[in-house]
Formats: sequence, C-alpha cells, structure tokens
Amino acid sequence: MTTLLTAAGGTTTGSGSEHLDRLIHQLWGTDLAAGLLRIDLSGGGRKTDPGWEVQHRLRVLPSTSSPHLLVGVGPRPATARALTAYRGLRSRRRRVARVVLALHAATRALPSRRVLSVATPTDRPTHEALHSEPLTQFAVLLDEPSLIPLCGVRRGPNAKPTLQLFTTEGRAVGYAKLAWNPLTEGMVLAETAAVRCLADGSESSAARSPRVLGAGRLGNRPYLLTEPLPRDIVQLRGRQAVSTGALAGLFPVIRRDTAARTGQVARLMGRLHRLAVSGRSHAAAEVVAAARYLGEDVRSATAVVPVASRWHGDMVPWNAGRDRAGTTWLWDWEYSEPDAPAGMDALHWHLNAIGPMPATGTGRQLRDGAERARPVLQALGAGPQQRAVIAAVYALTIAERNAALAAAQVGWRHHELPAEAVLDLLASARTLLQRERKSSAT
Amino acid sequence: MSRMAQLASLKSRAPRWLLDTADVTSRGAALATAANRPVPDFLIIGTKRGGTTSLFKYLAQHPGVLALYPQPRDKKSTDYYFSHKFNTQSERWYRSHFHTEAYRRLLHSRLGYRPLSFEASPYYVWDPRIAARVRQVAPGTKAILLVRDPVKRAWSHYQERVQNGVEPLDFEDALAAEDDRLAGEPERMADDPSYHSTTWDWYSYRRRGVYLPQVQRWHACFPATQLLVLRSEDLYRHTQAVVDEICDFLGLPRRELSTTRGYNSTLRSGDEPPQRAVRALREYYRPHNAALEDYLRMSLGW
Repeated sequence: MTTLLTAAGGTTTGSGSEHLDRLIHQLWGTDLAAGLLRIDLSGGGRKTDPGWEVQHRLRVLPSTSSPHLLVGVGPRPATARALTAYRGLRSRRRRVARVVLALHAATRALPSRRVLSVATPTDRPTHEALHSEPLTQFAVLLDEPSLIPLCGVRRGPNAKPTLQLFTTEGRAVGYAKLAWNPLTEGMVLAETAAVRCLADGSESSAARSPRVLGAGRLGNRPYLLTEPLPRDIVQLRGRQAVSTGALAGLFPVIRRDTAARTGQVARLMGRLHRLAVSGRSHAAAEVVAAARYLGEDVRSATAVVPVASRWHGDMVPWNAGRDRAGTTWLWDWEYSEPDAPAGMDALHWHLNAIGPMPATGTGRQLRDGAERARPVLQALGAGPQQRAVIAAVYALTIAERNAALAAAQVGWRHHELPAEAVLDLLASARTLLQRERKSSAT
Repeated sequence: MSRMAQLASLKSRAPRWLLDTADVTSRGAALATAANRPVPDFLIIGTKRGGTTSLFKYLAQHPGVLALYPQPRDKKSTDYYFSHKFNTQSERWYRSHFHTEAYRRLLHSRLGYRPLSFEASPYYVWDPRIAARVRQVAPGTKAILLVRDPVKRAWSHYQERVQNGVEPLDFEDALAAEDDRLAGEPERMADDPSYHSTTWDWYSYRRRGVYLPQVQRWHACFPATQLLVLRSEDLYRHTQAVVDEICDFLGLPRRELSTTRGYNSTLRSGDEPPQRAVRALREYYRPHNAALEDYLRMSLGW
C-alpha cells in the first residue's frame, strides 16, 4: 500500500504522477491536512490500516503513472454504462477506448490494478470526517445512497475537479465542479451565477444550459452541481455552429452602445488594470502592456455596437451539443459575463471550430474567424466598424484570460496559448480596428 | 385528382431510397440530354414577399406552361444565376432543368401552340449582377416582376426571417441596423463575382422596397417589351385578371385557374407591424414610390 497523504504528521510519498497528486490535492487536500481523511493507493483498496475505514474507492485508469480517469468502483454493469454514456460527445478514438474499458468493466476487473481509496479515521464520527468530502456530499445532495463518479485527470492551467455522477444502476444524475484555489473559485462562482441567471427565464427553447441542482461550499471551496446532459446529446462538430436563432434566443440584443460602455468591457479593463498593478503579472507583463494599449483603442472607439444580455464566454464545439429533439445544450459557463458586445461567442466559436486555437498564426486565425463569423455578426446588427471593435474586445478578453492564468501560475508553462500567440492576436485585432477606422474616415 | 396531385401523393408515400434513386436517374438523364433542352422562356424575378410563389403556382396550372424538369419535384427555381452557382455550374447544368425540345414539340402538336418553360426566384431582381447574367445566357427571356406596397413587403420579409430563426432583432431595431448589416456588401459583390451574400438577401427589408433601380437595372439589359411589372395587390385581389394579362404578355391563350388561393404566406402574417415603424417607412418610400410611378407611368396606390 502506498500512502500519499496521511493525517497530520503523516508522510507524503506521491502517486508517481504530478497530475494525479494535484487532483488529489484539489479534491481532498484540506481534509487530508486536517487529518479527516486518508488517501491510499493500493492493489485492491478494500483493506486499509487499522484505525481507518474506507468510504470510497476509485480506480485510476489507465495507470497511476499516466492517469487519465478516476472511475468509482461500483456494480460492473453500472460502471460499464457510466463509461459508455455520452458517446456522442467523444471522438471516435475516445469512444473506442471507452467501449474497451466498459467491456473490461462488464466482464472482469478493469485493467488498472491501482485503486485509490478514501478512508476516514475510526476514532472520529464518520459524518464529521465526511462533512466536506465531495463524493459523500454530492450523494447526499442527489439523495442517492452512493454514486459512481467519473473524474477526468485534467492538465490545463485552470484545471479543477469535474465529476460526472452516476447511480449504482449507471444512470447519470449530475455533473459537479469543485474549486480549489482563488482562480478556480472565481470560475465556479461565475458559472453558478450564469447558470442561475439563465434558469431565471432567459433560456430559449432552441438553446439551454443544464440547471443547477446544488451550489455552495464544501469546506471553504465553492462547488456547482448541475443536472446531467441528455443521454442522446451529440457534440456540434467542426464548423456546424450554434445557430443565430439559438444564440439570440439565449442572449438577446438588449441595446446598442459603445463597447466601452458595456459592463463586460468595463470589468475587463478593471481586471487588466489590476493585473498590471498587482505585481503578480511579471510573467505576463508584455501581454498585459499590449492588451492595455489595444484597450485604449477600444475605449476611444465611437462605433455603437449591439450589446447582448450576456455572452457564454467559451462557446466551442466541446462545450456545446444538440439532443435528438434539436435543442442546443451549452455548458462550461465559467467565463460567462452579462452585458457584453454581441457576437463574441460566434467569433470564439469560429476561431476554435476546427480545434483549439493554434499556438502560432493566431493573428491570421482571428481574421479568418472574423470572416467566418461575419454573417452572425451582421445578423446581430454589426457593420464593418462594429465588427472590428467586437473583434478587438474579443482579442482583449482572450489576452486577459491567458495573462491572468499565467500570473496565477507564475508563468506560461502548461499554457495552450503561448504569450507570442496572444501578442499576435492583439496585434491583428489592432490592425483590423485601425483599418476600419481609416476606411470609415475616407 | 389531377395528374400532378396523383404524382405528389405517390411521391409522399414512396420510400426515401426510391426517391433518391429516381432523383439520381432523372438528373443523369436530364444532363445527358441537356443539349436538347432550351433555356427558359420567361422568369418570375421578384419581388420577395410579393406573391412570387403564388404566381408560380398559378402559372404552373396552365397546360402550356412547363415548370422545372422533372415536374414532380415541384421546384420553383434552379438558383442558377446566384453567384456561387453561376460560377460553378455550367449552362448545360442549367438547361438540364428544363423540358426537352422533343417534349415541347409533342405538347405543341397536342395544344396547338408552343408551351413555355419558366422558373421563379425573387432574388433575381435583387442581386445587381443577375440581369446581365440572364442576358448572357438567355437574351430572349421575358421577365415578370411583381411589386408590392414596400411597407407591407418589408414587414412580411421580416416576419419570414423571424419564422426562419435568423432574425434576432425586433422590427424597428432591424430597420435601424439595416445599413450596418448591409455595409460593404454591394462593394464585395461587385469585387467578387462568385460571392453570394445571404445578408443582402435576408436583411434588406427597407432597401429592397425601393423598386425603381431594380426595374432600371433590368431595363438596362433587356428591352422594355421583355419585362412586365405588375402590382402584387392586383394579383391578390384580381388573380384571374392578372394571370390573363400575363398570358397575353407571354403569348399564351388565357385559361381559367382551378384555384386562386394564396401560397407561402408567413405563419405570422396576422401580426401587425409597429405603427411608428410603418409611419417612418411610409415617409421613406414616398419619393421612391413617386419616382417609380413616373417611370412606369402607372398608379401604384401606395
């Protein structure tokens, strides 16, 4: 048995994977440090040292040295069903991998011999030890005796634990997200506010978000628990965009104003200013400086742009799907903000439609994406000048988002978009803006 | 039940694979015999939301009028003169959508006069490049243009866009945003012959009701005798009389219509436009309507 973290005074030996260590820390770190829990990695995980009682067991797949997925140990058929749920959201390669895993789960033990067990001390009341333990509390919230969680081991700079939750019959009952540091705390709180706001009546029949089943704090960490997506959902692939009607149904154009007078741009400028003066942004100083330069151009832009009630903030093919009834489902609302220049979601979609933004050539990508998104922006009432301003606000937003991550992580390591790519994006947006200004002046 | 109705009924009951097979076979045969298929004798070129679908259906009832081949497909237009098609499809492809000379001769012997073929697309009069394209391909083609009260046309156009799920703005905002939406589109269309602008088609609520430049553009490419301009309101109220006038224009014998019901009205046609927008549009169109009346030497009554 390998002990990762024990009660106060125990040892820390590590799992062999920095990513798994980080996920364990994110899920249970506080309770481990407080001696309320103990995490063991073992061959079977059923037995633990005297004085500890196992509460949850999760298989680490495919191995602890290269972990990608934690799967709750539960009845075999249910585990198989959970592993093959949401096939429509996965690439063919991942679908095949999941089917192979499900076959293993249904017929015999899953390939990984490593089981991660979460144990509580026998000398303390169980309910006290599990007071902020996520798996236990999500089961309580969902009124289920126990759950089979599926938890991806994420590697990005803004990674946070996300859990697909299934009953012991293999039925999807929820999706949970848990913050673990100030950066992810802001994201989970923003998503909670956005999804709640949408549920308050601004959802259209053409597009919607999973509803909130629970939100609050586990210990001092915010969490969000939403209803599961429909089982028949299929990812919107490639350039098959969210329709203008669905977009406008969710985020109607509520007024026309200069970009600078929108709430989104005001908050964005505020965040950029705080980044510039915080002293934490040394790693992102060049990006922040270039962004503030473009920010001045946006501030002085007089073009009146259509303003939407909200924008999703990360509308990309892997955060959107359509069910058999034709309803578009959107999730991952962490970057959503109210009162934003209309059309930025269309831009973001078209920049990412064929995969995440590339590390090079982002300037050209912005121009191409703006061209592909042009019909949607025109539909929203944006002419050439307005489109240039909206593209500039978008580039600023992406720059600030990346700079904030870099500042929080003290560097651009693990970044999908390197600093050079962000600078290229900003420069391209500035050129677009200046070109439109010149052409409108003539 | 008419022969067309019987065919439509049969088509609705046929399995998909059979329809696909029939489609591929008939398209292949049409392309193989395209050299023997003349270009259409006349076009219905507009205006959008001005009764073009109804007029298409009325004329298709005439035994001497041939809609697109094969007729059971019940297609109204080839869209051949749209930029993306005109620059990628051949004239052979275009001709393949009309009936063969042999079939026309057969009908001619039965009817005692030569039947005419046609298609209808309200975009043809609106895209500034299309009249010249039609002249290039079919200089002898006649055209029929319906013009409707532009205020009602704008509202109906807007209603249709809402119904199709592509109009996110309310009517007054859409009118206010129209210049921004269309900005740069004419220049782009002029610069790029292969560019088809859906924005120019979809969001031109106000501008499309200014008919005079559209009529003049057609007249710049064709003699006045090849264009018949009619009021949509007359088609709605005096359908038989208008169809008779069209038959005279085309040189066809007059024929009583079996139905004069309207086609392709929007689901929201009962809705009323906001009165403020109506007043602003009336004011905007007043000089344009007057100029059109002068030019056509006819009273439009708007």
